[in-house]
Amino acid sequence: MNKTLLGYVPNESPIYAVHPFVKLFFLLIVSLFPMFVTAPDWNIGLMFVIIIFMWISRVNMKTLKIYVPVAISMGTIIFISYTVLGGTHPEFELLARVWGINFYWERVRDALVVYFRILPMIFTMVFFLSTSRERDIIVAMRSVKVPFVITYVFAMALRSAGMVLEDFQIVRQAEQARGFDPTGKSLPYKIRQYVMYMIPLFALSLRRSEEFTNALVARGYAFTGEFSKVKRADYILTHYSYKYFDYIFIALIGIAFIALLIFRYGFGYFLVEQSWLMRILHGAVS
Amino acid sequence: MTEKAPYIQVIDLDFEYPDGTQALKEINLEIVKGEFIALIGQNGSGKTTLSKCLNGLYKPTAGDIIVDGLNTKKSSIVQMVKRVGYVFQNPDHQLFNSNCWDEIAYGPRNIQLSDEEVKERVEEAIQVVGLPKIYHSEHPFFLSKGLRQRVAIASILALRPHVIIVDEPTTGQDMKQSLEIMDFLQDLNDKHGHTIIIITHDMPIVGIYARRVIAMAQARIMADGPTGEVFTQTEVLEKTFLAPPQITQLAQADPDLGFNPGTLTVEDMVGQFLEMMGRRE
Repeated sequence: MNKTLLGYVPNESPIYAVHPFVKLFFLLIVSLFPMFVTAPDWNIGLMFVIIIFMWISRVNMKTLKIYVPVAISMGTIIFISYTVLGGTHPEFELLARVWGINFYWERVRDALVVYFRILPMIFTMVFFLSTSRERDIIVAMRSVKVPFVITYVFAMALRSAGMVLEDFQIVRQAEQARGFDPTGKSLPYKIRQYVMYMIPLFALSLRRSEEFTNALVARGYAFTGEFSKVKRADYILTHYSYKYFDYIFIALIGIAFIALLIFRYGFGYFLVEQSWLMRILHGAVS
Repeated sequence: MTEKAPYIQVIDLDFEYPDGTQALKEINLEIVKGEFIALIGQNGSGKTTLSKCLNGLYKPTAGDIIVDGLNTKKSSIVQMVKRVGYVFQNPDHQLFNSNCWDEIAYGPRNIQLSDEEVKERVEEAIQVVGLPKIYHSEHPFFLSKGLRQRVAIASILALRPHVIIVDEPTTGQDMKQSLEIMDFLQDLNDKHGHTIIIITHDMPIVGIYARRVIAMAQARIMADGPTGEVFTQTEVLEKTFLAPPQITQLAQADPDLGFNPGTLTVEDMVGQFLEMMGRRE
């Protein structure tokens, strides 16, 4: 097993045959796809494609369930923002009026469009973080000559996210070991107790960031000044080389993006008005 | 081994992490009240996983753990923490409150004790760990690591568990502080009757304090017995990548010298030496 930023992936995973830059390129470009697509059908399709990539990469699919609460709470916030807090629009099609709140079809539709734009972006990020180690990110960024200081700050920020997640698990266990059992308790009680996680997490992060800083300075790191101009050997890059399929993947991702732009702006594809999913939903709620 | 009824029974325990790592395989052991046990083994051997299984933080993948007649699989966390307390390796992971008093009261409040009983238990725990009054209203994060460790132990003591598991109690401490913590744990064992389980790599500490050693390697128990006896099983210890304390190694260096190969402390060796000299005279 290799420890990645969001979990573990077996050593035999085919993802390790791919150059880290390809994964970073995938993240940066594929995350943009939903920005140009308003039809949820296509964005749902993109999510399935990413899930297939995760499965091929042998990411533990059980870990996906931890994102379900995030997806639900995000969906709820978006839906409330667009409907309950969406204002009065006499020009829109009224679906229902509940406790004085108007629910318009257009606002529901827009909420779904936004939701299904954000979800594939999160899936892409989860795929990237689940299959990348910190050094993959350093290699990816250094291989395209991103300055050393920026590369390391970015990589450390991602590493910190992983560490906070690990700390969170231990703190949660420590709270359980002190008799905290949320089973059957009210939501306000749970929230109050969960807030207590923040105290050790913040304290640990502060202590760790100070240690990080000291360790970096002790190793000659400087964000500005002469140290930052020193040419670095980038020894780690010598372990990686582009293979022919890396170029093919980069080309395919690039072509897919260009094709998306052409179809979107040249031929008017991927619009919500063409979405069969929305048509079915509209028919069901009207 | 004692003939008392076991307080903890581990029966054919297997544990697998969600990522597929098999952390424990076919673990069988019994722990009786009043023992002082050291769990030893290299990193990743399964010590911490086993101890987290013992207090119900992890539920077995296969097999059972019976604590005071309760199966950890079927028991609530509240039932378990009253029986087995777990002090985490890094005290910073388990300090949730803005002052030491509230920190120690946090567990008893979680198990819904009355204010009077919470106060009684906190005062008792503070007395046992010897936390000076000036620190009671101090934020735990501003204390030294040794004091933070004490607050962490006090916060577990306030739950009055019979068994206290302490993960790496001496890591990062100097010898003086290590001995202070270990003396304190020994007091809990001798005077207060708590069963103590320490997880450690510090073999001299094991030699001085533990009466029973469980050596683990590759998710299995490789040796389990009285400390001196386990330290004589050099082949087994090699598998765990651990070496007995230097004084034990010295005693084992030349069997012809006649030292007990299970010698654990300098005092023990000096005693044997003086006895030998006396015999010669």
